[in-house]
Amino acid sequence: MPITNALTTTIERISILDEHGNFDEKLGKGLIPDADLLKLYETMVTCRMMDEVAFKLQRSGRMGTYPQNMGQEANSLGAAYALNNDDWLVTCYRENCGLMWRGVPIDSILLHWMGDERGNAMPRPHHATPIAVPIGTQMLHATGLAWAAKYRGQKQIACTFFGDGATSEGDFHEACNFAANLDIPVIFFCQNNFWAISVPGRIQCSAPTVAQRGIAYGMPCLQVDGNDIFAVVYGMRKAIEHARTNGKPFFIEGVTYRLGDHTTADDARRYRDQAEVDAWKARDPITRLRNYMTKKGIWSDAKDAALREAAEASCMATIERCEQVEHPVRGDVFNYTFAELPTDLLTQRETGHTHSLGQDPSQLPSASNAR
Amino acid sequence: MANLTLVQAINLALIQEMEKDDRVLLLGEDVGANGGVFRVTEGLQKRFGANRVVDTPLAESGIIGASIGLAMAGLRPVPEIQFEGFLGPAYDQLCSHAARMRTRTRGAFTVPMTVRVPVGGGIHAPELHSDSPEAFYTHQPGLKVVMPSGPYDAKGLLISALRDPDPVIFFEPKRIYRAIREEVPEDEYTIPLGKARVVCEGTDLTVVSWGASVIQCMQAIEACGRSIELIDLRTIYPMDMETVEQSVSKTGRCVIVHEAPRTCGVGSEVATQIMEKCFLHLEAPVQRVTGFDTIMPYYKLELEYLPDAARIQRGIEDCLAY
Amino acid sequence: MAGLKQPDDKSHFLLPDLGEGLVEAELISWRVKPGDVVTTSSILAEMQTDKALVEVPSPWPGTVSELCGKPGDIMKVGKPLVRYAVSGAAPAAAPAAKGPACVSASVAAGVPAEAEGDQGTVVGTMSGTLTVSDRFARKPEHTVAAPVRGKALATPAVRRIAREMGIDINKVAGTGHSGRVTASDVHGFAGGSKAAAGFAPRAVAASIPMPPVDKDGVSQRIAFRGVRRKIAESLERSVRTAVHFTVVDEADVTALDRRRREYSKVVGQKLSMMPFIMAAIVRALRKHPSLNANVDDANSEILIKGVINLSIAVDTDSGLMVPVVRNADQCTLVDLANQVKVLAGRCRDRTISREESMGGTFTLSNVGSYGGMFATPIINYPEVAILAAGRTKERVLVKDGRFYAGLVLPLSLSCDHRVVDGAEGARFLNTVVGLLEDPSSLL
Repeated sequence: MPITNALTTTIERISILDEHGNFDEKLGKGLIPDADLLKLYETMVTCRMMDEVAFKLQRSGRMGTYPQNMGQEANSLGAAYALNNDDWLVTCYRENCGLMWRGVPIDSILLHWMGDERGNAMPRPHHATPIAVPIGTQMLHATGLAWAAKYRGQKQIACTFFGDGATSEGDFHEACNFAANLDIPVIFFCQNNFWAISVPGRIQCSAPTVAQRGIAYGMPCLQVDGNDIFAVVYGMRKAIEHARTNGKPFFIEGVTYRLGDHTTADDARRYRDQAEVDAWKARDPITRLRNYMTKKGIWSDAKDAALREAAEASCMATIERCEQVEHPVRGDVFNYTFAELPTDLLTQRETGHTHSLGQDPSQLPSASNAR
Repeated sequence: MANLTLVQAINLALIQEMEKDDRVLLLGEDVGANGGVFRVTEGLQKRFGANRVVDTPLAESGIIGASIGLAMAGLRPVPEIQFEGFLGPAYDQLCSHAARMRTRTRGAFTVPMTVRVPVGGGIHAPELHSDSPEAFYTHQPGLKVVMPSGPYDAKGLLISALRDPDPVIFFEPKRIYRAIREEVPEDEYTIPLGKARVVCEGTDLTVVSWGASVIQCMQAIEACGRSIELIDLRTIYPMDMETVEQSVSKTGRCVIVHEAPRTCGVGSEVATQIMEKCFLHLEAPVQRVTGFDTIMPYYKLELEYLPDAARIQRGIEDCLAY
Repeated sequence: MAGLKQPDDKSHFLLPDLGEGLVEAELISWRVKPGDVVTTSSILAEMQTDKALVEVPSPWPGTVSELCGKPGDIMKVGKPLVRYAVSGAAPAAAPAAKGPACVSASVAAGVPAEAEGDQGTVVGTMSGTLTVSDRFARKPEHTVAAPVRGKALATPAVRRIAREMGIDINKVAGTGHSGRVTASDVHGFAGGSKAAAGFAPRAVAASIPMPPVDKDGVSQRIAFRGVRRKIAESLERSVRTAVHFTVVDEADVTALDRRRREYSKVVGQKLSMMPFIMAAIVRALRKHPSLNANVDDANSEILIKGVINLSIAVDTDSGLMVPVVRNADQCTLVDLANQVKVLAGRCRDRTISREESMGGTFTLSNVGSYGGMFATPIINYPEVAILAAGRTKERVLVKDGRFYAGLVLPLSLSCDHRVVDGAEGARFLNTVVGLLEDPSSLL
C-alpha cells in the first residue's frame, strides 16, 4: 500500500522587531503599550548595569563566581511581562531580568553568588524558585508546581527556563514527558544562547531547531527571536493561552546569544571567535529597543544617559547593601537541615564536635553561638 | 483487631491518611490501575480517583523531581519507586534537591515528601530487585530514612513519615510483605521517627538490626538460648543511639545485623557510635553480621548472601565467647 | 542544671549537677516513697555534695514509681534518681497490641503460601510465612532495663591485661577517672609490684592493697559516710596533691590584747583575737600575694587572686567545715567577727550552702580555742596556704634585756611548696607576726 504520512509538522519562527529596526506592524501593533515599553527598557538597562557591576565586583574579589546575563535580557523579561504575577517562574540563572520584573530584589540574587543562602529565601508572593545550579533538574520542579495548581483546581501555570545544554540532560526529557502525558500546564522556555560553557549548541542538539524537541511530546512548539522583546511577548502569549486554556504544556525556543563568558571563571576567547560575538552584539536586545523607541519619539539620548546614571547609582546602592549584610550565624550551618533538629545534630551544633569521648555528649558545655 | 500483613498495614495507613488529608497524593509506576506490583496500593485509585493515585511515565528521576515540585507547592506527595534498584536515576533529585531545599532556601521552600521503596532480597527476583541501599541515603544530610520490620510498626511509622515536614525514604522490606501477620489496630496511631524498639530484653549481649533481618535475629536468639537483648532501630536516620547506648552499656557486647554489604554499611556507623559512647563498658569488639562486599547474587546463590539465622547465631556466639 | 536534658516523657529524673562540675553526690535520705504524688515543691531526697547538704526537689508534678538508690549510695550526675509513673497513652502514642506476635500457620520458608488471591509482584516469588515465639510479643513500649550492677568500667587495653593475668576484672576496684579500673588497679589486685607505665600518679597511691582490719574489741561501729567521708576525701586529696611544709613562730600580742579589750568596750561587743588575726592576714596577703592563690592542677595553672576570701575552719560534730568570709579586706573588725559567728552557726546546724564554702583564697584555723601550741595544719585545697593560731598563753618575755609578763600567740603556717617558696612562707609569717605585735600598724 502507499506510504502515508504519520505526522507532518512545521516549526514557526516569530520576528517582529529585527536588528535593523524593521517592525512588523501586523504582528506588533498594540502588543506592548508605550508606557510598558519604557518600563521594560528600564528593567533591561538596570539588569545589564547590574551585570557589569557584578563582574567588576568579582574581579576585585568581593564576590564569588557570577554568571553574566548579558545579551539574554529579553527572553525572561518578555516572559515575566506576559505571565500573571502568580504564575511560577522556575529559572536557572540567566533570568535575572525576568526576576527583577517580577519584583524579586536584586539583593537576593547577589547574595546567592556572594555565598549566602539567605539570598534564596525568596518570599512566596514572588512565585519564583531559587537559582538552580545543577543543570536541567529544575524543569521537573516546574512540572510538579504546575501539577499542584491543577490538583487544586487553580488557574496558575508554570514557566521554566533552561539553556540549550540542559536539553541534553535526561531530566529535561522526563519533565517534558510528564507534563505532556499527564496534561500539566508548563511552558518550557529554552534560552538557546548557542554555548554551554565552551561546547557549541550543535553538540547539544544537531537538529535544525531546539524548538522541535517539543514535537516528540506532542507539544505545540514555537521559535522566537529571543532578542526581540515583541517576538518574545507574542510567543509567550500564545503559549500562555494554550497552557491556561487547555491545561497542557508548550515548548518555546528563544534564540539569543551569550554575549559574556559562561561565568566570571570562564574565558570565552579560548573557544570562540570575536567575529561571532561582534555579529551578535549588533543584535543586542537593548540597543534594538532603544533605537526603536528613539525613532518612535518616546526616548532620547539625554533620557538614556540619565537612566544609565540612575541605574548605576541604584546598582552601587544594592552592592553596598549586600556587602553590609551581617555575617550569617554559625548555627545556620545546622538550623535548616530539618524542621526540627534531631539529637545528634543538636549535639554537633552545640559542641562543634563530631566525636564523643565515652561520655554523654549532652553534658558537654555549649561551645558557641546557637540559633 | 485484625491480623494484617505488611502490605495490608501499609495500604490501611495510606487510606486513613488520604482520607484525613487531601494534600496527600500517590504517584509512581503501576500504582494506580494495577494497585502496585506488590498490590500495596490496591484499590486506592478506585477509592480516591485518578487525580490522587497517578500512574506516571516510566521515569524515576521524573517521579521524584515532579514530587519535589508538588511538595514545594505545599502538597504531600507519596511517590513510589518500584524497586530499590531503580533509585539510581532518582539519586540526583533526592540528594541535590529534596535533601537540600530547606537549607538552600532557609526554609522558604521545603519538601514534605515520603518516598516509598520496596527493599531487600529473598524473593527469587532478577537483578536490581534485591538490594539494600539505605546507607547511601543515611549518608546524605537532609533526608530521613525509615525501615519497619513488621506490619504494626509499618503503619505507625508510615503515618509519622507522611506527616513529617521533611523528605523521608520509607523502605518496605519486600520479603516480609506477606510473610508476617500482626495485630494492627484499626484506630489511628503513630510511632515517632527516631525511636528504636527494644524487642526483647536481655543481659548478656545486644543485637541491633532493622528491616526483614529482625526476624532472622529473633530466630538466632531463640536458638542461642542466652539472655540477649534485641533492638530494632526502625528509623535509620535520625538514629536512636540512646537506646542502643543504654543497652550496650548494660550488656557490654553487641552484634549488628544488616543485609546490605559490610563496608560502609549503616552497621559501621552504629559500631563507631557504640565505641565512642560505650567504650568503657565493652567486653568484646562490636560484631557485624552483614551481606558480603559483593554484588547481590542472582537467586540461585541469594541465600548464601543474606545473613540467615545460623550466621547470626555464629556471630552472637563468637561475641559471647570473646 | 545546664546542659542536662531530661527525658521528654518525664518517665525519670536524671540527677542534675547540684553545684559546679559535680559528678556525683551521696544519697543521705529519701523524702518520698514509691506511690507518692509529688508537685514541683516536693523534696525528693537529701543529698550530700562535697561541701553541703542539698535538698533535691521534684522537677515536675507526678507520681513516684521507683527510687533509684538507697541511703548511703553514691548517685552519679546524669543518671536516674527517681522514676515516675507515666500516665496512659498520649493521643498519638502507640496503643499496645495485646496478645502474641506473629502467629500464623507455621509453614517453613520456601513452601509457597496458600493462594490468597493475587499477590502481585511481576518478579520473584514471595515465600511462605514465618513464625516467632511469644518471647518477642509486643508489650507496651518499654525502655531498656536498669544496668546490671557489679560490672567494671575499663578500657579494652586494661581488660586485656586482666585477662592475661587471669583476673576477673569485675572484682577489681577502680580508682581511675569516673571509677574505671586502671592497669595499676589490676596489677595491685594481683599483688604485683610493677605498676604499668604512663598511668596517672594519683591512681598509684590508692592501688596499694588495704591491710585487713582487726575486728576484735569493737565498742562502736560508725558508718564512714556523709559529711565525715566527704571531709576525709578532701583532706586526702589535699595531702596527696599539695606538697606541705610548715613554718612556725610566736607573736607577742600583749599590746594587741589590750587594744582588743578597748575595742570591745568601744563597739559594745566582745571581740576575740580572731578578727585581729584575720586583719593581719589580710594585710600580709597584700604584701605577699603568692599565698593568696588557688592551684588549678587540671590545667597546670596557679591562679593568684585579687580578691581575698578568708576560709575559716569551723569544728562541728560531723567534723571540720570551712565557710568563707568574702572580701575580707573590705570588712571592718566587727564585720569579720560577725560573719565568722554567723557562718559558724550555719555550719553547726547544717544550713550552710555549698556556695558559702567555695572561692576561698587562704584559710585561718583557730585551733587555739581547743588548746595546743603549734600544729601542722593541712591546706584547704585548692588554696595554697593555711595559718593555724594556737592558744594564747601568758609567758615571761624579754624585751631590751628587761623581763615582763606577756601574752604569746603561737602561729603555724603550712604552704604548698609547689607554689610558695620556703623563704616567702617565712616572710609572710614574719609580716603577720610584725603586724600582730604592733597594733598601731595593724589598725
